Amino acid sequence: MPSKLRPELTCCLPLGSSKVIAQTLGRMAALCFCLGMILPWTESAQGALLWSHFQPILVRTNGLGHDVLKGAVGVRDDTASGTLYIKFRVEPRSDIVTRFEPDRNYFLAGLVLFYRGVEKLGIGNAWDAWGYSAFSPSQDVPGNQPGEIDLSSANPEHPPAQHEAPRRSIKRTLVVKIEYVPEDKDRVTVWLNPDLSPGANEYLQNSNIVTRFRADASFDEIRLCHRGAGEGWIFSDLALATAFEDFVPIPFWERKWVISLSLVVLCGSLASLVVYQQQRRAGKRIRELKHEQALAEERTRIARDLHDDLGVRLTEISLLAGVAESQESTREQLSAALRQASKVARETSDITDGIVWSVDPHNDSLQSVADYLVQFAEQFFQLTPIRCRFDVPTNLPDQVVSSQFRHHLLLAVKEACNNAVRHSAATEVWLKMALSDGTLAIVVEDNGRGFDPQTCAEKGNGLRNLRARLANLNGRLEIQSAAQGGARLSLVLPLPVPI
Amino acid sequence: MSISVAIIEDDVRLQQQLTELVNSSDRFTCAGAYTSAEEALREIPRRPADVALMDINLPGMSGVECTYRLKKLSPATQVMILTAYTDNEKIFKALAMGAGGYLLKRTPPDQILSAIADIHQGGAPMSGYIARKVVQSFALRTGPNTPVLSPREEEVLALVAKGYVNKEIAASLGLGVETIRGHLKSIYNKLHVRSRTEAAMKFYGGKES
Repeated sequence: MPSKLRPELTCCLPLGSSKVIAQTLGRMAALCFCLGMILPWTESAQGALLWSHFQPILVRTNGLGHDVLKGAVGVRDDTASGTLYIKFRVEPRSDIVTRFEPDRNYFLAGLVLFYRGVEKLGIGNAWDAWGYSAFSPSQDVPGNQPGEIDLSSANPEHPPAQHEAPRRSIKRTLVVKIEYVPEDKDRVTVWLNPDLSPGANEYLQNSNIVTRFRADASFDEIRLCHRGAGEGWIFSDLALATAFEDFVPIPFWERKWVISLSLVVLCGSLASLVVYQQQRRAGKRIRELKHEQALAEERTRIARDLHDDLGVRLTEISLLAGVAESQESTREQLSAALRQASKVARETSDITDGIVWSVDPHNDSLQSVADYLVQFAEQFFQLTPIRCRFDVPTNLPDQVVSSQFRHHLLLAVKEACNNAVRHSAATEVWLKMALSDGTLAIVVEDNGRGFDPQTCAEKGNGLRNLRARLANLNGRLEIQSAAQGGARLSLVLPLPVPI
Repeated sequence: MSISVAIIEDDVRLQQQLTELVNSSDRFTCAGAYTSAEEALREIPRRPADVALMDINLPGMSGVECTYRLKKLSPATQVMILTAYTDNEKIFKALAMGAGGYLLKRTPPDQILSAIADIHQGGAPMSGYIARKVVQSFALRTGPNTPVLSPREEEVLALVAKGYVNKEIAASLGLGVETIRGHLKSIYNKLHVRSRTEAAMKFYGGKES
C-alpha cells in the first residue's frame, strides 16, 4: 500500500471530477469504517436470548428439583399468549437400568416447568417412559404411558419404535417450542437433538426428531430435577428465546464482526485505491510538470541563444553593411567591412546549425553526437592550417542524449577546438572519443606549443567557459600540457541515465 | 568549353544569387534554374547539365529522391548537394544515391565554384565524416548479392575516417594517389549499388526499372 499522500499535492493539483469522486469514495470508506467498528458491539454470541445459563449444572437426587430461572422471565399462566422456545442440553451420568433401585423413589430426570409449586410440562426421562419423553399429566397419547409422550429420535433404541433411551455420557440437546393459547392447552413442539448449525431453523429439521402435542405449559419456575436412581444428569446450555433462530449461531458470513471486518477491509481497500489513484495522478502530473518545466527551460535557452549569438551577429552584419554603404568609406574600409560581414554571416550560419542540431530530436543518439562532432571538427579545421584527425568509434551503443546535453557538449567541443586554433600553433589536432562505464571522454589533443595550465587558467575566458559548460553536464575538464609542447584537453562526462 | 550548371533551389532569391555566381565566371554557364525536383527532372534531359546544384529540402519530391532519379535519367550529370545546415542523414543518403559531393550554403562563393570544378573533374572526394557514414552503412547487413568492401578498400576507408587526405593515405600505404582515388571511386560505386537497390525498393516498389 502506498504511503501517505502528501497533502500539498492533493490540494494544489486540479484533479477535476476525479477529485469529487475521490472525496465521495473517501467519505464512504470512512462511513464503512465507523459502521464496521460499531457493529461488533451490538451483537451477542447467539442472537437475542431472553435468558440463558450455559454452564453445566449437575443435578442428582434433588426431589422436586430447584429453580434456575429465579424470576428472570415473566410468569406464563393460562392467560399467556405468544411463543417461547426453551433449549437445554443433558448428559446422563449413568444408564438408569444399571442402578435401578426401586425402593428409593420413582425415577425422574429432566427440565420441569412449575407453576405455583405444581409440576406442569416436563421434558426428560421417567421411570415409566421408554426413553426421552415429555411429561404432561393433562394429555394421554395412544401407545404411551398415561401422561407421557415419547420423543421421536433419529437414533431410536429399538427400531421401528422411535424413542431413544438416555445413555451414560451421550449428550442430547432438546429444544421445546411452546405456543401459548389463552385459556386452553398450549401447543408444544419438541425437537430431540435438532440441527443447530449456522443457518438452521425449525422448519428444516428432520421430521423424525419432532414431537408435537398439547399441554399446559404454564410456569413461574423452571426446575432441574433428578430423583430415583443413578448418578444424576448434567444440564448445560440452558436458554429461553422467542425464536428458534436465536439458538442458532449466526452463519459466518452473517456474523456482524465478519461483516464489520469485511466493511473495514473493503473501506481500507477503497481508501487505498483512492489514495493510490490520487498518487498516480499526482505522480503523473508531477512528471508532466517536470517535463513542461524542462521544455520551458529548453525554450528559454534557445531563445537566449538566438538572441545572444544570432542577434548580436546579425546586428554586426547590418552595421558592417552600413559602413559599406557609406559614401565616406575608403575602398579598403569597404573591402574590410564586406570581408568581416561575410565572416560573421558564416558564423551565424554555423551557430544556427548547432542550435538546429541540438534541438532536433532525430539527433538524440550518442551515434549522432559522434557523427556531428566529427563533421563539425572537419569543417572547422578545414578553414585553418591545422589538420584534424579522428579516433572516434564508428559504432556506438544506443544511448539517448538529451537536447540539453548535446547543446552543452557541442559548445564545449567548439571551445576546445577554438582554443587549439587560437593558441596552439599546432599542425595537427586529434579528436578522440571513448566510452567506458557510462562515462564519455572526449579528448582534443594538439601537437602545438603547449601551455602551462596554472598560468592560463585565469587568463582566458576559453577554459573558464569550457569548465562552466562541463559543470552543466556534471562533467569535468582535465588538462595535460607542458610548456615544451602538446596540449590535451579531456572532457569527461557521465552519460545521463536514460529516463 | 564552360561547365554547364543546373540549379535546383526553391528559394528564389538564393536561386538568383547562385545563377549570378555561376554566370559571373567564364568557366561556368547556367543551363537552367528550377524551383522543384519535378521541374528539374522534366527539363534537365532536354537542356543537359554537367553539374546539378541540388537543394536537399525541396517542396514535393526531396533532393535525395531527385538525385536518384536524375542519375538514372542523366548519368553524366554530377550532382552537388546544397544544404542550409548539416542535415547529416539526408546528406549521406544523397551521396549514397549518387551525388558526387555536398556543400553547405554558407560556403564562400569562390569555394562553391572550385567545388563545382572539382566535381566536374570526376574527383570522388570523401570527408572523414562521410567515411564514417560509409563504414556504418556497410556494417549493416543487406541482401546476399550486395557488394562488400575489399580489405584494401576497408583500409583506405578507415584512414579517411581518421581524417587523412589521399596524399597521406597513399604515402602510408605505399601506393599512388591515383590508386587511392580509384579505391574511393570503387567504394562509392559499391555504396551506390547497395543504396540504389534499397532506393528502387522504396521509390519504385521493388524493381529497378
